[in-house]
Amino acid sequence: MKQAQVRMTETIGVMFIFFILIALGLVFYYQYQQYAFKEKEQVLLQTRAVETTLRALFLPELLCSKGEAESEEHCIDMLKAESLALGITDADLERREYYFNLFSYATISVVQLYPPSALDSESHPAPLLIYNWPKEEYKSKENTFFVVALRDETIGGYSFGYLQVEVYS
Amino acid sequence: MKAQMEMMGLVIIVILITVGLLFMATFALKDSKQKNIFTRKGLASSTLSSVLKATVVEPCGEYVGSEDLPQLGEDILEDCALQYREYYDNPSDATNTNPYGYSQYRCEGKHSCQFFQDKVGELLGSTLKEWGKKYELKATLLQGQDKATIITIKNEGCPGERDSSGLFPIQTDAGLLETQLFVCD
Repeated sequence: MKQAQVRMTETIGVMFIFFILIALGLVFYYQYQQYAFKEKEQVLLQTRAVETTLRALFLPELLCSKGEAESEEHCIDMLKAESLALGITDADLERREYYFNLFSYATISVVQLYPPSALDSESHPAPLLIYNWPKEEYKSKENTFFVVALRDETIGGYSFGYLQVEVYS
Repeated sequence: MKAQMEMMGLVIIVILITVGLLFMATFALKDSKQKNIFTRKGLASSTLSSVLKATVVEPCGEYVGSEDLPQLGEDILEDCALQYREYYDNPSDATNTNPYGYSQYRCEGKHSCQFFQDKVGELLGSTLKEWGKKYELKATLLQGQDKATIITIKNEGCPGERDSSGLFPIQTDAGLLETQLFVCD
């Protein structure tokens, strides 16, 4: 009788430990799934950041061009950029929607580093905001930078700067 | 026999924990590689092409006020290739320089090699370095069988896995000048 009780206690103990292990496994799996989901979201956001950056880099409204010659890669025409910035922020809803379909929730700006722009403050270069449509309550945002040459035909020559693309999710 | 069984149980537990840790490490290391590769690949070539195109606005001696302002690549770097023997006491040893050596352009009163080194170092520092990238820029002059590295600018350098801008060749009177930028994380 006593031996049977001992065996029963042993079995209960083993089952208890077994269920604890299963519970731990489930908790771990749940945590991992949550982490994997966040990771997936991050990857999707990064992919969108890359796509938005590429769209902005090859946007004919920004690329340096000369007559019918092929457009210059990695070069932004500052006159075009200024004009585009003014165009998107105006009240033309159709135009805003057109660019929203291209860039979605994002902020795209051009920063001139050399030579310093006249608009720069002492410590920070002033960015030229080309497209600004941030998401009001975003979960996360992804920043991408890309070095570009900036051409201004009114001054002549090329400046050195970068394109900054922020996307929101 | 019982001790052997217990030992086997322990070994199995250790193996399971090791496999679990390896599994976790694999996932942790996969973190955001996709974007880094894209950013680095495009970044290296766009950065070098933008640097070489940039127009110099600092006074460059007699060239001040000339119709076209000099470009960092086509003018300053080319001039450096032509006059680098005036700048380096010994071209194979870039540590001993002669700032008073002759060069056609003297932007901010500096020899063109010195000016290129300083200006490009500053531009790369305010972009790539600021964004946490390591880099290495090299300009090599090929004269027949001879090869001389006339410019080296780096932030820690990229000895391991890296992405290259590709070669940007410039034909000069001194020979073929090849510039290349490596970017890594």
